[in-house]
Amino acid sequence: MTNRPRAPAGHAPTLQQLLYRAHASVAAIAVVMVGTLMLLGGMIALRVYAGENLHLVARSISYTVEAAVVFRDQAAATEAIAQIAETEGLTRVELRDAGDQMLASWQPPRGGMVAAIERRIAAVTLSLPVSQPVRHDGARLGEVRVWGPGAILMSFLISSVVGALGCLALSMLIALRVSGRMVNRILVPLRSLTRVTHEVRLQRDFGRRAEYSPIVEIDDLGSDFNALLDELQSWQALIERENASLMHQATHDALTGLPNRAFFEAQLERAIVQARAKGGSVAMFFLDGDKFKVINDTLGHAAGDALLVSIAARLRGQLHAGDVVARLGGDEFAVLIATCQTAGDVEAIADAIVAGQLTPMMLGDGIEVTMTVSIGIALFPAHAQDAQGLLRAADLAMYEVKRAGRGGWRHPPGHQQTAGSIPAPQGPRHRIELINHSGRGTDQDIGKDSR
Amino acid sequence: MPAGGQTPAPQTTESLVTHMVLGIASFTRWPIPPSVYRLCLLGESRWSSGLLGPLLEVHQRPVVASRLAGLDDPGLTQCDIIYSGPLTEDQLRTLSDRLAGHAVLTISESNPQCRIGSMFCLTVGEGPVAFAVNLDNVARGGIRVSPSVLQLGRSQPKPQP
Repeated sequence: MTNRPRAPAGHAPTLQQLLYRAHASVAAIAVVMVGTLMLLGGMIALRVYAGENLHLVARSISYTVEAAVVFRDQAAATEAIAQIAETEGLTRVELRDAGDQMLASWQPPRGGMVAAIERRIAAVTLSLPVSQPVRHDGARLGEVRVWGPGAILMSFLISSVVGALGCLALSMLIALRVSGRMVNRILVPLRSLTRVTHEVRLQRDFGRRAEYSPIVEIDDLGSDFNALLDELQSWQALIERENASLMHQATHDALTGLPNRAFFEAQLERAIVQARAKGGSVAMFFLDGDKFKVINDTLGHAAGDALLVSIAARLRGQLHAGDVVARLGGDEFAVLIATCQTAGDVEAIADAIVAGQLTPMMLGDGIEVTMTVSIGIALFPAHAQDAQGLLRAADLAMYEVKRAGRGGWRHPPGHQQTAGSIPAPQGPRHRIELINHSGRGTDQDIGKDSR
Repeated sequence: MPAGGQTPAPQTTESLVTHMVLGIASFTRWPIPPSVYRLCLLGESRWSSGLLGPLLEVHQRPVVASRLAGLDDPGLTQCDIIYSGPLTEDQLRTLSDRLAGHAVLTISESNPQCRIGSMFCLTVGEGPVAFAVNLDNVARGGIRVSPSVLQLGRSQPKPQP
């Protein structure tokens, strides 16, 4: 499995965080842009109105102080100015005569920092002071100079900024809600896909499929994933079949379909391990066809093969399902008796096998063959302590049978006394006959020669 | 309340008085605006010399000043503005009677009570020149005076009868 680089936990953002950031930044940009535009537009409009308002105020002051200027009544002028300036919230008023001499001036009592900020804002935004001439009877008597109030601008600024901040906070909240909802809509199908992937990986359950998702991209992903699972499933099945076939090929003989030597030895090992653990016993036969080589040479390989297949089928038929019948090679077979109770049982089975092989076998072309077999019996733990030892002992016993004459069975040499009576080969029962029923058989005496 | 102050042009009391008279006249409207304003001086006025000077204007019209022989002067009712010096109460009453029905602005140089005969009464002292207004006389006269002047006059500390 390949390791892909992965961001350390805690650094990788979640989908929710990504979506929230995107929503929040869009909302923030929108609010800031609209807010800035409105603030600028508002300030410009307000600047125009405030300027016009100041001009009006200055004009009304100039009308009011007209008589006072004519009669140079400074006190009256100051009083009139103060009255208007206070109501209009002006920050400073000057009244000068035609010679630019100060006739009257007015300033509000110094305010705190707020007033100072207001004055600063007004000074920046408005073109101050606003001047208006004092005219009387066609002559210009002087000039009124007015410094306007920044309070309106200030309150507009503050309310705009507060409003924008409020909108910003509101849109952040909405962004949070919207992204949460979106995350749910995206995450539900994603989680289902993740769960399926996880189960497939953990349980190797290739039959699982991703569900339908209302989101096109995720549904595409799910479909592709399902297609991948289909492929995986068929791959898996194919591999399993291949494996089984290969396993069978590796452990079985192609001709007879019986297990081969490797399989037999493994089974034997296992049986011995079990018997050792339980204190039981294991019996095995080493079995060899007598004069097989002669038959093979005389009648051909096809007939030899057919003979081997017949022997195998016959053996298989005489034994229990739990017993193992294997072809070790050539005309050598081995039998593992799984259900053996006593040596007598084993010998009875051997007897049955020997007897069973006496029935003639029909080969192709009407050739009928009877082939005797030699069986070497080996018992665990009586004759050997392990599989190889048991095989050797059985092999030795089989050779003893061969040496004594064809057919029959024996225990390994050195154990014969304990094995009891050995049925001596006798008469036609242990003779190999080759009868050509078709009449074109051979007259060659194959009875004398073997192995 | 004092009017006037340090200005470059009118320094003398005469010039202050002249400025004051022309100022009041400029805030006054006659029913038929005269093409030339006839300013008549009555009695032994003390500060009226400036009014006799040339190039005086009211409402961009020239002001022509002349002295009246007395209350019997037939030109009395022809005047647009009468500036009077000190007069007795009887004289003031006579003046008031004679001017009844005529649009004449009357300004008195020395009428501290400002009760009879004058619409505006100047107070000429050591300091700046001030004035008082007799609203009854203004109302009775055939002329209109701007309220802003009346307001200035009314704010005079001088008690009005």
